[in-house]
Amino acid sequence: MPKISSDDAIELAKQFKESAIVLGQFQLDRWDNLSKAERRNLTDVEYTLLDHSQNLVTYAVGKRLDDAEASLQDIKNATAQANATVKTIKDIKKVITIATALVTLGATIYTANPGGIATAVGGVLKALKG
Amino acid sequence: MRMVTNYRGRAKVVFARRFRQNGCASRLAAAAVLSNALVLSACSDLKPIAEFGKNGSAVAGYPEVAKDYVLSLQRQRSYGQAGTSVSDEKIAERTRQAKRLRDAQAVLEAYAKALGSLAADDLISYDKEIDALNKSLVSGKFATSAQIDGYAKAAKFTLGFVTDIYRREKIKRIIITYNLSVQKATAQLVKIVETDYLTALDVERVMFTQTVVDRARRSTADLEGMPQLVTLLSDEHREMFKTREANAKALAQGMRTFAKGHQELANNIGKVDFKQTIEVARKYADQLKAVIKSFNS
Repeated sequence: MPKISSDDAIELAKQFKESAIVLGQFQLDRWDNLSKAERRNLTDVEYTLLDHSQNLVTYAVGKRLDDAEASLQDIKNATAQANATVKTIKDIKKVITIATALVTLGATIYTANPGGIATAVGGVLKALKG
Repeated sequence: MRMVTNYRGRAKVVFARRFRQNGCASRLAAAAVLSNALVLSACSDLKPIAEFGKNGSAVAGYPEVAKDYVLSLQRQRSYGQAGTSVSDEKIAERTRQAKRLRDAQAVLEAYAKALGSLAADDLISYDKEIDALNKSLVSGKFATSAQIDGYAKAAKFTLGFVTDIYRREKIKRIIITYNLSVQKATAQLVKIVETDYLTALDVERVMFTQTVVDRARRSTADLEGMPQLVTLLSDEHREMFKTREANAKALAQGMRTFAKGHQELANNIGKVDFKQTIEVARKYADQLKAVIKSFNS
């Protein structure tokens, strides 16, 4: 089972930082149409994604991946797709669903076993389709 | 330099003439003249190595990155971040990492200073600097106490007098003896600065811009004077990020240059003409000088 290298961890950290950036932009673009609770919700998710971005650099290095279940490329693809989708959709509920799935994926990469990562990648893909 | 060359040239002539014409006493006197001439010319030859050491220690001693590494997390808390990345455990961990960074810097600074002193003939400081270096190697876990005894033997002077040839030999010895430690300490420093600190600073910049500035701008757009105040604070903070990032990059770049130059010196010294070794030192001393200039205050 391949391990996450230092360069991979940096790349993943960049992707999660990018997720926080697109989410922040979504929030600013619709600021006046969002309720206080929705703004707060989005802000919390942004903080968490930035949290993951920093934690990935420190804790993801050396974590094992099961390519048969979910490879590093699968993680990168799912995150990139999620970031691209948030840039184009307008539905706040769907954005929150995608962002929440990303939060789960981020945490799973540096805390869980390879099986957990596969489930979390599946969760992001499901949120994108839903 | 021309004076020295002329002096050396004259000395050679005197030595040869006296060797042919006179007895043993004259030969010894002429040999002393020649030896002095060689010492004079060689002293000026070592200047690039002295500069290499001096510039390397100036870069390695930059203290702000290690200080800011922990402060960055504390600033993030003040922006509103409350996640695990700014938890007490994480701050404690980062404090330990900052110490590892300072340990690596201490080794590199002490070593570069000692090398510079040796090449500059500042032998009063040299032995103390070797002691400081060996202590920092052990405390930073770059070497064991047992290894250090061997290092000290190789580095310190055992003769009561120092000829230039002997000094060159010592330079060769310390470069070869300490090269592995220099490379290890540099790798540790570059990893912490480039991967950990710069990533943290980048995330902090995004967090500050998005969760503080952009929101403040949106929430206070209608309040008189507030947009200007937000812009002012944002600009100041942006400058702070730029300066810190530039300085961190300069530190990593400087130490990478020092380590590369040192590796080249270790590969060449004693195997090629000494003039070539000196040219390597000069090249990297100049590169380090440029790095020093790139630090922002």
